Amino acid sequence: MKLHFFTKDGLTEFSQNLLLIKSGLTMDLDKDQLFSNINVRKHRVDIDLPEFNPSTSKYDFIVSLTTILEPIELRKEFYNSNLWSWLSAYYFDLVCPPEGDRRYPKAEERHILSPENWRRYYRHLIAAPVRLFTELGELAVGYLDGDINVHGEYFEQLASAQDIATSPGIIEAANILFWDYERGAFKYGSRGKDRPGTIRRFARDIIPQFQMTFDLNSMSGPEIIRLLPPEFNRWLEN
Amino acid sequence: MIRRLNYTGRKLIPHDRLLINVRKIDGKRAFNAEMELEGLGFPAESRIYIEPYYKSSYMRFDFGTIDNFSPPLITYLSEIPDTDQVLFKVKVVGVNGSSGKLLGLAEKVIPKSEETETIGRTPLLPVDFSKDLGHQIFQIFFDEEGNRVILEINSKIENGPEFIRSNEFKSLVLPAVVRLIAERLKNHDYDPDSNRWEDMWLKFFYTRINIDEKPVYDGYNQDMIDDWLESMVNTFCRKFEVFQNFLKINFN
Repeated sequence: MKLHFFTKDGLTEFSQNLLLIKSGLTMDLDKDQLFSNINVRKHRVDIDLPEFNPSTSKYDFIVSLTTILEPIELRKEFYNSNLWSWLSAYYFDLVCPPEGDRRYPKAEERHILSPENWRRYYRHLIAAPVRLFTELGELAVGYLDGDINVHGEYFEQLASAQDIATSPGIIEAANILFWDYERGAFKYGSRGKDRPGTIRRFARDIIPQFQMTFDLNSMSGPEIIRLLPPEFNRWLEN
Repeated sequence: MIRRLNYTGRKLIPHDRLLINVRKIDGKRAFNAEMELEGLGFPAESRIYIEPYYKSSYMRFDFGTIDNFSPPLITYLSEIPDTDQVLFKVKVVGVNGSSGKLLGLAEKVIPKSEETETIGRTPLLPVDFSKDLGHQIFQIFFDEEGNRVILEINSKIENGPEFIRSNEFKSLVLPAVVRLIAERLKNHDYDPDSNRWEDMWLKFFYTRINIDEKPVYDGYNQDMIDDWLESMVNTFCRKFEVFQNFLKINFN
């Protein structure tokens, strides 16, 4: 299918579809109606979108999609809710896969991009990871871990504030600490919730504290790591 | 009174040394900045960054160094939501021996724009006409980070600035806005020397409306708080001739 975007009516229709699915009254989007002429327009740039296998990893999906969408000048489209919401509807099986005989779309901003502020923006399951990959390149590897329909612990903790989410130095430091490049996975125990030295503690407590004294956007990952308290040393020994 | 201590070693850059303008270029918002940082003791090679922000959205611009101030050619606020309430941080950052260290900082810098005539003077109730509020006429945004209360008027209202000057707004909406803000102050203890938004509003109630000080809320005296609220809103309405404004509304 060609790349499209929703009209205003299309966005409303998509929102209503999500409500029906969330309530359990229906399981699938009414795609015939949702993608009808009144609800969508073809994008000015002619792009053929591929199908993705439901088992596609988030990394493969986001990297492929970012590459495919490059001709539309992504940076100009980051806040285009009509576009990203249409992509969410088009790839609905990936962002809201069936679980038994139901689907669970959860919060609307996961599917309908809310460009008003970053704290809602980052929840979108396609726009946010595409944007972070565009900004950070391979440094975004931790953001792209896991399933497409879930923002994991690393994503939730680091992506929720824009000045942290897109800071190459901070994300490089997080990757050095928590990402196991050999296994292509997070180090065991790094995503714990109530322990010292975890991703949560790094993002919620330590980084905001250092932002009072340092301009972390001017610093590299290794420079930031040198500031950290000893509770993070165990990740460097692995 | 709460004393605020600064253990970080960074210097606070006075806002009166900064002048940031937001204006529209080709229909898009952009800003320019002038500053006088001489005499504040920053090393000549220190870098200057300006970061516009609104809520959790932010951008970052490199303005060169203390001895080579060089604004970027493009300063569009393309990643900041379309709001009149954007704020700015100005950072002076160390290099060489103090690489990355924040040497100087100015936060919550209000830009000069068509809507804001003065720098460094904060209106008590800034108004944002840019938000689509769905089916609501207004919302109040308690911007803790920006230390202010913002009245948001639905962008679907065609002429928002005219609406807030109307008798309808002054008599039917404004008293409710004032009450909602006052309710939020229930647990706040007044500090006349503070510039926190809570204290600025209480100062307004005490000195402009001339009402008695709010009782200290102890968890058991909600009735006293309610009485104070009623009295305050009623006095506000009398002082600002709310009822007279209501009578001028033409309901035809």
